[in-house]
Amino acid sequence: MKDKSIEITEEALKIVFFSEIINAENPSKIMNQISMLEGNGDLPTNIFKNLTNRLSVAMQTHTLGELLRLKMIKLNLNEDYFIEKSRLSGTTLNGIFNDQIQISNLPIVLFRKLVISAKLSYSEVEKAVWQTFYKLDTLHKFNNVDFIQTRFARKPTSFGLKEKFSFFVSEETEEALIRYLNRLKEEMS
Amino acid sequence: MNSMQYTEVLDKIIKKDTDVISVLSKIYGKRFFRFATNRHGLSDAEAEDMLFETFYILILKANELIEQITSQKHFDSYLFKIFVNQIRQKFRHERLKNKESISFVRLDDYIFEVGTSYDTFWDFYEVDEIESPKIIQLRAALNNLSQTDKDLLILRNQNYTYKEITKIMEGKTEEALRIRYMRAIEKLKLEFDKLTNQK
Repeated sequence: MKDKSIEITEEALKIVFFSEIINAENPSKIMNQISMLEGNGDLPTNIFKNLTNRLSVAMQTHTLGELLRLKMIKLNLNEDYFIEKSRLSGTTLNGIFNDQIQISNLPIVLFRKLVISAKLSYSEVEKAVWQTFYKLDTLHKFNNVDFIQTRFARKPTSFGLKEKFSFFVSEETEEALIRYLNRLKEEMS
Repeated sequence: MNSMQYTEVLDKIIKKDTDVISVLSKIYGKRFFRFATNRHGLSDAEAEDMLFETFYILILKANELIEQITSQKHFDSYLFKIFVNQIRQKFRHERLKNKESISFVRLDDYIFEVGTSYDTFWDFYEVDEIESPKIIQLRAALNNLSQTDKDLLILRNQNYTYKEITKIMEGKTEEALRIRYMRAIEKLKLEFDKLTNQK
């Protein structure tokens, strides 16, 4: 944001504009204005390059759930095997497989057993855990916005991962995950 | 390529076909980017982050959206709303972060003050703006204006010039729009005062 000076009516109108768009059944009028006035050309080259690079990484990097499911197929295993080896409950394991759990909430000893039973290296797990973290963080913020339900639509990675995502990541939970991964690394070495 | 339908876009995302990324960037990227930088004062890097978040949400939600989205128009609107919400969140985040360093200015004599105290101002932000009584009153005051006046106020608020607005509001000169804007601000003040005094 370039200008920190605020005129109060301007500010209030801006807030009204945002909420009107987000709550609109069909914001096509505004979209038409944008099409008319902002043009249809290309993005600046550097922005286009950065954006496509970041999105490609985000699209191609497996989450922990995806990675475990791939391993399960590759090693011809099933969920019962992981339950037995890791001593995690079926519900928890299901949550991990479906990327519904922040890993730093799991007991580290049990998670280590899961990682070892799936024959995953620390570097593979680290990438996948961060991918899951950003996925959950993004979806959590998105789902807290009131336009998400698609009635029409009503209602928000360190492979250098952090800089590939935005300012929305909670620093507290990120710190917790960094500490958790450091401990996992020690446990696995 | 630029005319790819939403079903194909979602299908490619689900198949993790990265070709879809450049298609999305070409169809929506420039317009959204310029909207963020020109109209809402975001830097290039901030606007890039907004685009990334928007498309990333689309990637994460593709499996659900393919069942829920019903038309191209629906898809376009959905994506635009995600993007606008990213800007809104950023805007709100910055305002709250810079609470102590923000100074208030009056742009000209035609602009009224909703309130002069920090308490009143932060009332916009410290509750969700959709629920804020001041915002509800302002929206009600706006809705008592003609559609043209309302559109004009909102377009000017997004930094559209009078010259640009003449392209949207055909048949009106820049000078006519300037005068109309000043009158619309006066009307808004009267409507807002009326609603405030009723309380």
